[in-house]
Amino acid sequence: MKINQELCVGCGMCVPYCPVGAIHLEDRKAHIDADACVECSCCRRSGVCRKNAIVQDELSWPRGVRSVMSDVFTVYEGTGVSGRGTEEMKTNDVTGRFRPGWVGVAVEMGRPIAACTFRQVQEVSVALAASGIVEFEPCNPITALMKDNKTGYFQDDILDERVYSAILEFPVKLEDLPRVLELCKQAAEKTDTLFSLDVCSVTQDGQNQKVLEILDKAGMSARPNGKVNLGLGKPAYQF
Amino acid sequence: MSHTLHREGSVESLKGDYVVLCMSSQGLNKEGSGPKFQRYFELARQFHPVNIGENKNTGSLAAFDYDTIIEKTNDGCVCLAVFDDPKNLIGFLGALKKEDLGLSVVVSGLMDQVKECCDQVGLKVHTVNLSLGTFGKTEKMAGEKEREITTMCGHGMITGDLVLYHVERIHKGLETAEHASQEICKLCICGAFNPVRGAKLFQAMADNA
Repeated sequence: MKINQELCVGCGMCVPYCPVGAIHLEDRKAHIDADACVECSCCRRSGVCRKNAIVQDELSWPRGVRSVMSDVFTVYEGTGVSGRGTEEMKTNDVTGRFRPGWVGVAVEMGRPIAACTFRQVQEVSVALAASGIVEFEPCNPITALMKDNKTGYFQDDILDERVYSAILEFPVKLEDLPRVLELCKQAAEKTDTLFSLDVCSVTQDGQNQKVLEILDKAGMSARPNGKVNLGLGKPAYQF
Repeated sequence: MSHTLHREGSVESLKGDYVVLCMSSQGLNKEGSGPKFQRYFELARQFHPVNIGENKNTGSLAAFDYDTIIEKTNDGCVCLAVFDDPKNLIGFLGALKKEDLGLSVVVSGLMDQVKECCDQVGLKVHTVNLSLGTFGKTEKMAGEKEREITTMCGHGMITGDLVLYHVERIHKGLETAEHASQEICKLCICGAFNPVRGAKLFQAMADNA
């Protein structure tokens, strides 16, 4: 994204619209810091600029990855889902992605509104992969950008690309959840950015209660609000 | 992404915030799902959602009228309806159960209350998703009060600075909390933002500014 300097009148109205603080005023004109910008299009789409001075420049590779991971309207071909998301537990009733005995874990690097580089994501993905108990979700753009999803290393050319957020998603066996939570705690101490963490589980055989017990033992707690899949999808996955 | 999972706020405030999402699954029930999504929105309308939306062809109620969103909804959309009253949520869940659309339905909200609403209409929870919060350099986040508003857009298109900008304007009498909430709501393209809760939060922040 860039500002057409001839059209910009330097009103500064666009500045607070940038989620990652990439817009600043200088010499009575707005400027976008290309390194900081994650190509989310929030500024342009907001319509805040009455002079239409916010323009999308051509995004070639590897910069284009910023848009895939940051712009709500950019659909990743591999998932068919816009933005950086996947179907995750939302369609678990028909996909059976997270089965009894397994827990889904999502580490969303850069969220909320801190952003992250792939180098920062890699620090966490490599640590998780090294445990040997994590296999990253194949239907996630992040996994497709890895050189090797068994090691968690990303393609070299995208390492310094900055994105709004990147979700490391993977299923783990219920008995391995404590180890993963410990790895997440260690990652939290080392990372220069932040991440949101969540877990999902089927309710069958009271497994969700077992997850709560594991969280409690790990010194972690769930927020009072969460998400539930009501099992209304068809054809229902037969566990 | 778990874009309606990490909404922040007090339990009291979250009592007026429920998001019902409906989606199909690629390769399983996506084909022919368009008319079912349209029916989903028609059913929701009977229970007074404070916002609806989808991020494929249109957006939220802040930018499009209800009929346009329904008309443009087609196969593979991810459809959201937001409610501020558990009674309306119960009504909608009952209607969805009866209609049997065959699409996945996910409810975000206070877990105890959502469970109670499901019990009332005889629905069982299949899978739960729990937020464990934020880790790492949390000092990089916006302030706690701002986050109650910003996290209602799961894609993070609302900034803490913009919230503070509107709070100041409300405090100075330049706009109402309702107007500020509607303006912010336009940035949340998929319709996950709850403008009624947003207005209450804006007013509380302005009163304490």
